[in-house]
Amino acid sequence: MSGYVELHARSAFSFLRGASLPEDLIQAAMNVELPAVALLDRDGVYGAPRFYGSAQENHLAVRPRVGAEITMEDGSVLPLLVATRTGYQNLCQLITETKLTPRLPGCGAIPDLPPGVGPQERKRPCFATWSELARFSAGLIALTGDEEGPVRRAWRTAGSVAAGAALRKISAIFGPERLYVELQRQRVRGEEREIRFLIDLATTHQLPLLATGGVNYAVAEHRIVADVFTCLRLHTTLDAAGRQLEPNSHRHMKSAEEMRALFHDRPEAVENSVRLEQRLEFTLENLGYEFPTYTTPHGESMDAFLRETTFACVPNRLRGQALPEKILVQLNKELELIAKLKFSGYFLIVWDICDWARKRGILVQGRGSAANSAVCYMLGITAVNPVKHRLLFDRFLNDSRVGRDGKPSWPDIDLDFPSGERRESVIQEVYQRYGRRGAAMTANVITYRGRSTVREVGKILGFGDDALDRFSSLYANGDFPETLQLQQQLAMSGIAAQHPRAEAMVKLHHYFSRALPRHLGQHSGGMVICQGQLDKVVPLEPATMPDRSVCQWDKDDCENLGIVKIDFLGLGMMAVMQDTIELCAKRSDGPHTLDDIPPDDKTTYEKICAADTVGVFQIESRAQMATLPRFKPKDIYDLAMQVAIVRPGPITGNLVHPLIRRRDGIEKEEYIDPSVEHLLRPILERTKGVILFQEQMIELSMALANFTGAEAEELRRAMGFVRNPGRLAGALKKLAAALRKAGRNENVVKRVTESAMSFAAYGFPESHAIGFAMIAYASTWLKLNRTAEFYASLLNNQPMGFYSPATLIQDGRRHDMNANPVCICSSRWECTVEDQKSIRIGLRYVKGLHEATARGMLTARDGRPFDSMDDFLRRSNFTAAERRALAAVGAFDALARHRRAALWEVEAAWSDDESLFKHFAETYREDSPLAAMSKAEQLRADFAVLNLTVEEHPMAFLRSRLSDVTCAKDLAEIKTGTRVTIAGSVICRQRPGTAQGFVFISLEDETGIANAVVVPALFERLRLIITQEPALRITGVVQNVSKVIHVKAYKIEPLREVDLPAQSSHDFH
Amino acid sequence: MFAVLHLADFALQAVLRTEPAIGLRPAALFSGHVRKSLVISINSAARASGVELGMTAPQAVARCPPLVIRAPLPAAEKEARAALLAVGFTLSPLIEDTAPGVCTIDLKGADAEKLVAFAQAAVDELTRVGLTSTAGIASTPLLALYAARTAFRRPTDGDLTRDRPAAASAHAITKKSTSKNTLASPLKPAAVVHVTDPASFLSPLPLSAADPSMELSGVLASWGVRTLGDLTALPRDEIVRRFGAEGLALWQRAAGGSNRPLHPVVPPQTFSAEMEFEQEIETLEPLLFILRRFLERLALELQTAHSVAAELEFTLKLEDDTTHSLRLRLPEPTLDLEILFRALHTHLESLRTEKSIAAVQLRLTPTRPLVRQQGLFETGLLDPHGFAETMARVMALVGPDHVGTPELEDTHRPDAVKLVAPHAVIPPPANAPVHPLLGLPLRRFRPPLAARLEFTEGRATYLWTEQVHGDISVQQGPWPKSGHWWQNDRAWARLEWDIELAGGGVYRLLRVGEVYFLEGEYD
Repeated sequence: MSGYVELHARSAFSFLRGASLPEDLIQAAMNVELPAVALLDRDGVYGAPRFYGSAQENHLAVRPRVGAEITMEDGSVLPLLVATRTGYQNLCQLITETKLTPRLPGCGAIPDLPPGVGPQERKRPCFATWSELARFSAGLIALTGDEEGPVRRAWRTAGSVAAGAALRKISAIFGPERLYVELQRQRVRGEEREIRFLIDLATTHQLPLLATGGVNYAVAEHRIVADVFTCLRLHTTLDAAGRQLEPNSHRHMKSAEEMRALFHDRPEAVENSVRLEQRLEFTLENLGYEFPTYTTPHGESMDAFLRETTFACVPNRLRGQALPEKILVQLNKELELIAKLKFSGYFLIVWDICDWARKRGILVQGRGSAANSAVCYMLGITAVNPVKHRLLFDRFLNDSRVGRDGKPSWPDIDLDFPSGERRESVIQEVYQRYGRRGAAMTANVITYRGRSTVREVGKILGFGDDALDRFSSLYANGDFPETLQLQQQLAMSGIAAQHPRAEAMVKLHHYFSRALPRHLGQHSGGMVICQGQLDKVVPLEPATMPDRSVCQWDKDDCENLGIVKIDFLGLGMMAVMQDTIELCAKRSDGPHTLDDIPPDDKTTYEKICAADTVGVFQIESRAQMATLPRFKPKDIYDLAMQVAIVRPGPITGNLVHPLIRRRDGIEKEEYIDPSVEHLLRPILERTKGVILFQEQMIELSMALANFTGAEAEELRRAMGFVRNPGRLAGALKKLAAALRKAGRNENVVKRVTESAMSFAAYGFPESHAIGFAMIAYASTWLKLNRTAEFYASLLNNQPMGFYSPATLIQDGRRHDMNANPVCICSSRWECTVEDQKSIRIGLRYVKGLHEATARGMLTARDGRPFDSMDDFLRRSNFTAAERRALAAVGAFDALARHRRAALWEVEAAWSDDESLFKHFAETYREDSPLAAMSKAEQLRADFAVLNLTVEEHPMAFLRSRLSDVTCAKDLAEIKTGTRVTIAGSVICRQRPGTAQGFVFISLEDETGIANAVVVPALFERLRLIITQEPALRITGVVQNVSKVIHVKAYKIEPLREVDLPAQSSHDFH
Repeated sequence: MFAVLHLADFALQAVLRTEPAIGLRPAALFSGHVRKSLVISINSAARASGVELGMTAPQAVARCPPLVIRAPLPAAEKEARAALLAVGFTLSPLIEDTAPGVCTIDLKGADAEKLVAFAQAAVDELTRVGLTSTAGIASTPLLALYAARTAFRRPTDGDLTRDRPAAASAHAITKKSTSKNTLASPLKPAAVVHVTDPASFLSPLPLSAADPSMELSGVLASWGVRTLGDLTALPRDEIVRRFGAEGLALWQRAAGGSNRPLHPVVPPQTFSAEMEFEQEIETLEPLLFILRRFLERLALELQTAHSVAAELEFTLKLEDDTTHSLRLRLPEPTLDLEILFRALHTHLESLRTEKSIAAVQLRLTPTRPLVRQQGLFETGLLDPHGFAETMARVMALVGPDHVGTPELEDTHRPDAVKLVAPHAVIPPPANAPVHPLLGLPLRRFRPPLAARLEFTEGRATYLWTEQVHGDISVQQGPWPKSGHWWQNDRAWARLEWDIELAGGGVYRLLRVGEVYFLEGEYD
C-alpha cells in the first residue's frame, strides 16, 4: 500500500493556474505509484472527464477522485472533495449557481464593474456565498486550503484570531466530520511557522490534519508553464512579476515516500489522506445522467408511438409510392433494435425537433451516421435512402456497442440547419422545452496554438511587438508541417538562436503546443439535454452569446461519459438552398422543394467533371477542383467518393491516385492481399479495393480481425479522437493483435493498420459523404439551372464558402448572369432576382449602411417611388456618410446624371440637425460642376464601398499594359512545359498539410482563375511577398495533366498597379 | 514678409538624426502604440522600393527586405524641434513654433533683396545640425508654408515629390498656370522658394497642401478635386453650403489665406538637452554623436541669447536606473563648439560604466547664471558643496555604481539588492506587519565561503571552510529556490540549509550546482 494519496491537485483546466494536462497528472501519479488522486480545478470540473478517461485507459491504476476549488465571496478559495453522488450533484449545482447568478456590482470581494464591460468580463464575478455553500454542502468534504484558502489567507492578512474565525465559519457548515485542516510543505523558508499555527488550530478545534502536495503541475519541468500562466493571469511579464512567480519547482506530484519524509513530524497527516480517500465513493463512472423521455400524445408507449409515426411518414417520404419490401424489413429490424435498446424516446425527440423546424419552413437534414438508418430517413431526419445506397446500419446502431459507462452506446444524430437566425430559433426552442438548466451547449476548449502561442508567450518573455508581428505574418496557423524549425522561424522574425531567451521560448512553445487549454468557448452546435436537471450532471456557465448557456465539458467528454449530444449545425449552403427555393416559388418550373430537383441530371455531372463548381457545396475548393476532372464523378456515389477522397487522411494514405487509376482501368484492383480478397471484395468493391469510408473500416475489422460490433466501434472512435494519439495507438495495437490471432499474414496486418492510421481524424462515414454529395449535387444543379436565384441567395448568405463575393460575381458573369449595380430605386436590402438571367445587388453590400435606415427608406419607396434626388433626400434619413457611399457606387444613377453629380447633390442635403427643416425648405439646385468618374475611378469606388464590382474584373482594364501576361482561360490551350506569366488578384493561398510544404496560389483575372504551384524553397525565400501582396505576377511552366492546369512558379513578383483594387483572399499558409 | 522653415517627414527625420549608421538606407517610421503598427513616414529610399504609407510592417518588409523600422521617438522630436527653433532665431527674434517641423519667421524689416540668401543660410545651418529642410518666403505665413513644402529636398531624405504639383490633365477641373515664382538658383532645384505670384503658384498645388480634414479630404477626392486650383474653381458659396465653416476655411486656405499675427516663441531661458534611448548605448561613439548634436543646438541658442557657456553639466542614466553625473567648469567661458565637445570627449574617453546607458542629459550654464530662491519647504544640506565633494571622493574610491541606498529587489533570489538614489521625501512608515519577522539575523560572508562537506549515509556530518569547520550536529532544510529561468545568462538555482556545528555556531549552507558555500552565520 502506498500510504499516501494526493487530494489537492490542479490541472491546466483551472485556466491560467495549473500547468499540466489531466492526463499528465495521471501519468505522474502512476510514475510515483499513487493509488488515487483528486483533481480540484478552480470553479469547475472542466478537466474531470479527461482525468477520469485517462485513468480508465490505464485500467484505473489511479483512482480519479473529483472535487473543485470554489472561490468564495470574500475572495478566498475553498477546496471541496466529492464524497457521494449527492455531493457531486451539489458541487455541480453550486458551481452553476456561482456562474449563472448575476452578482450585483460591489457585492463581495469582486470589484465594481465599469459600465459597458464585455460579456467575457461579465462572466468574471463568479463566487459562492457562504449561504449557497451551506445549501449545497451535503456529500462534500472541505479542506481548509492552501495559501488562498480562507484560514491561511486570514492568518496571513489579519492574524491568528481572524484565522480561527474563518475556520469556525467553515466548521459551522461541514462540522468536524467533513472538515480537514490542510498542511502543505512547499520547501519555502518560513513556512514552518504557519504550519505550527495550523497544527495548533487543528488541535484546538479537534480537527484532523491532512497533508497534500498542493500540486500545480505534474512534473517539476512544468513549473515554467505555471510561471507564464501567472504572468498571463496578472497581465504582467516575467521580468516584472517578481515574487509572484513560484520560488521553486516543488508543487509537482510526489510519492508517498517523499510526502512521508516531508511530514515526518506529522505522519498522521499523510495517513489521513488514505483514510479520507476511502470515504470518497464517487467517480464519474456513476454520473447518473438520463436522457429525457418523450411524452406521447395519448399515453401510448414510446416504442409504439415511434413505430406509428415512422409508418405514418412513409407516404410523404416515398411520394405516394408503395413501401418496398426491403425497406419494410429494414424498418422493422431497426424499430425492434431501437425498442430493445430503449432509444425510442431519443428518436422521437429528434424527430419532434425536425418536425417543429419543418413546420416553420426551416430546412433540416441529418448528417453523419444517422443517414444509415431507414427510420431516420422515413422520419425525415435524414435525406439519404440507406437501402438504395446499401448503407451499413451497424455503423449507426448495434446492440453490441457499449459505451465507457457500460450502457448501450447512444447513436449519433447531427442535424444541419440553415445557418443564422433559423438555426438559432431551433436552439432557443430546445432551451424553451428543457429549461435553462436542463439543456446547454457543449463547450469547446480553445487551446494554445501556433502563432498565438508565440505571440502570447513572447510578450510574457519580453520580446518586442515588431518581432512577434513579423512572426505572425510569416507563419500562419494550420495543420501543415512547417518546413522550418521553430528556432529558424524565430530567427527569420528577428529573434536569433543566440538570444538569451530564445531557448526558453522554444521550450515553452513545446509545452504550450501540447494543446494546453486557453479558455472555454462553445461548440458550434452541440447541445446536451437531460431528464432531470442538467446542472446536477455538469456545471453550466453563461455563454458569450446572449440567451445561451454552456456546460463545462466538450463534446468528446460528453460522449465518453454517455451524455447524449445532438448537433444543431449551421450550414451556409442549407441557407442558400432554402433561400434559392423560396426565390423559385414564383417560377412555375420550381423547384418548390429539394425533392423537386431532378436526381441524375447529365449536364450537372458534366459541369462537375469540368470543375465548374465555384460557389457550390464542398467541391468548390481548389483541391477538389483539381481532382474533379480526373475523378469524373457520374452519380451520387461517385460524388460521395469525391467528397471523401480530397481529405488529408486519404491523401496521406496515397489513395487518390490508386482509386482514380483503378476507376480508369489503368491499375488493377487490389484487395490488400490475395489471401483476404474473398472477404474484402464485398466490402471494398465499390471503392475498387481502397478503404475510403469508416463503415468499410468497421466491416473490415469485423471480417478480418473478428472484432465484435463494440470493438469495431471503439476502433472507429479512437480513429476520430484527435486529441489523444495514445488512444489510437492502443486501438491499432489491439487491431494488429486481433488480425494476427485471426491468422492474417503480416502484409495484411501492416496494410490494414497503415490504412487505419492514415484515416484517423479524417475518415468520412459513407452515409455522411452521401449526404454531403447530395447537397453538392443539388447546389450545382441550382447554380446551373436557377443561376440568378442561386447567386442572389449565395450573395445574401456571405460570408461562407471558399470565394469572396467579388469572385462569385465574376463567376456569375461567366455563366451569363448579369449583376446589376446597387440602385436606390430598385435594390432591396438583400440581393434580388430581376429576371432569370440577372440579379440586383442589395443595399446590404454598401459598407457602413445601417439596416434600419435602409429599411425605412424601402418602406417609403414602397409607398411611392422616388421621382428625384430631392424627393429621395426628403423621404430618407441616411447620414451624410451613408449618402456619400451610395452616391459613390452609382446608387443614384437613376436620379442623377452620373456618380459625381450625385455626390455633389447629396452633399447639399440637410444635415442631421436640420432634419425637420428639410420638409419645408425650398429646393435650390445648381448643376454639378464636377466631371464624371473615369472607369478606373468607378472601379476603385466600387471596391472601396462594396468590396466588389458588377463591371468587368479590374484586370481587364490593365490588360493592355500586360502584353506578356497570359489570361487564365488561355492556359488550357498551352502545351505542358511552356513558359508563361500569369497575373491577377490573389484570391487564395494554400499550403495543405499533405503537400509537403508546396504552396498553391490562385490568381483571378477577367477570364477566370489561374492556379500556380510554388515549391517550398521558393516559398520560404519569398514568403512575405507571397503572403502579403494582394496581387501577383507569376512566371513559370505550364503543367496540364488531365485538364488540371497549374503553373509551376519560378519567379514571383508583386503586381503593383494602382488601378487594381485589393481583393480579399482565402488563405491557409 | 514671412519665411517658413520646414522639415518634411519630421518624426522620421528626428529619429534618423540620432542614428548616423542608417545613412541612406531605406527607413520607415511605424505608429508605435496601436495594435497593428502601420507605416506613418518613409524616406525616399524606402519609397523607391515600393513602401507606402499605411502598410503593415510585414507588407513593407515584403516590398523592401532591408527596410530599417523605427518607432516615433518623442525625445528626438523634442530635440529636433528645439534645433529648428534655434535656427529660426538666427533669422529673427519673432518666430512661431507653428507645428512639428514647421517654424514660421516674421521677416519684417529684413532687406528684401537678401531674403532668399537668409533663408538659404538657415537651411544650410539646419543641414549642419543634421536636419534636411526647405524654406518658403511669401507675403503670408500660409503661403510661405506652401512654398516651403513645395521646395526641393535632396532625395536622400524623405521626399516631397508627393506634395509637388501634379499634372492636372486627368483631373475633373483643370486650370493652366505658368509660374513666375523664383527659386534660389535657376540652374538647380532649390531648397528655398520665394512666392511672388500667389495665384499661379497656388493653383497646381495638391489639395493636401491646404491640410483638409480627413473627412473633407475623402469627399473632395471622390469629387475628383486634387489641387488647390480644382477647389477654388468651384463656387465658394456652394462649398460653404455643403461643408459650412470648415469648407469655407479650406477654400480660403486654398486661395492662399490671409495675413495673421504669429504666436511668438519665447527664447529659451535654460540651455539643456536630454534624450532617452530606445536601445541602451554600450559604446562611446553613438553617445558622442548625440552629445555633439546637443551642443550644436545649445550653442545656437546661447548665441541667440548673446551668452556663452561657463559650465557643462551632463548626466548619464544607466539601464539599472543609476546615474552618472559630471559637472565641468570651463577654464574660460566659450561658445566654440569644438572646445565644448572636446571637454566632454576627454572625460568620456576614460569613463567606464558597469551598465549600458539608457539616457543622457546635457546642460550648459551661461555666463550670467540664474539666481534661484530657495523654496520655503525645501530642506537642504547644511553644506551642500561639502557633501557633494565628499560624495565625489567616495564615488572616486568605490566607483559611481556602488553609491546609493540599497533596496531589495522584487525576486525570490536572496540578497538581491539594487542601489537607488536616496528618496527625496521620507516615505510614511508602513503599518506594523501582521506577523513580525522572527529568527536570528544572518551575517553574510561576502563573498560566501567555499565549503567542503563529509557525508555519512547521505547526510552531511562534517563541514570545512577556511574560517569555520566542525561536526554538523543539527541541520534543517533544504529550501530550494530558483528563478530567472527564462534567460540563459541569468538563470539561477540554489539549495539552502541551516546547520549547527557541534562546537557552536549556526550557519547557512548553500549549494549552487555541485558546489557548497557557507553563506553566512546567524548571530
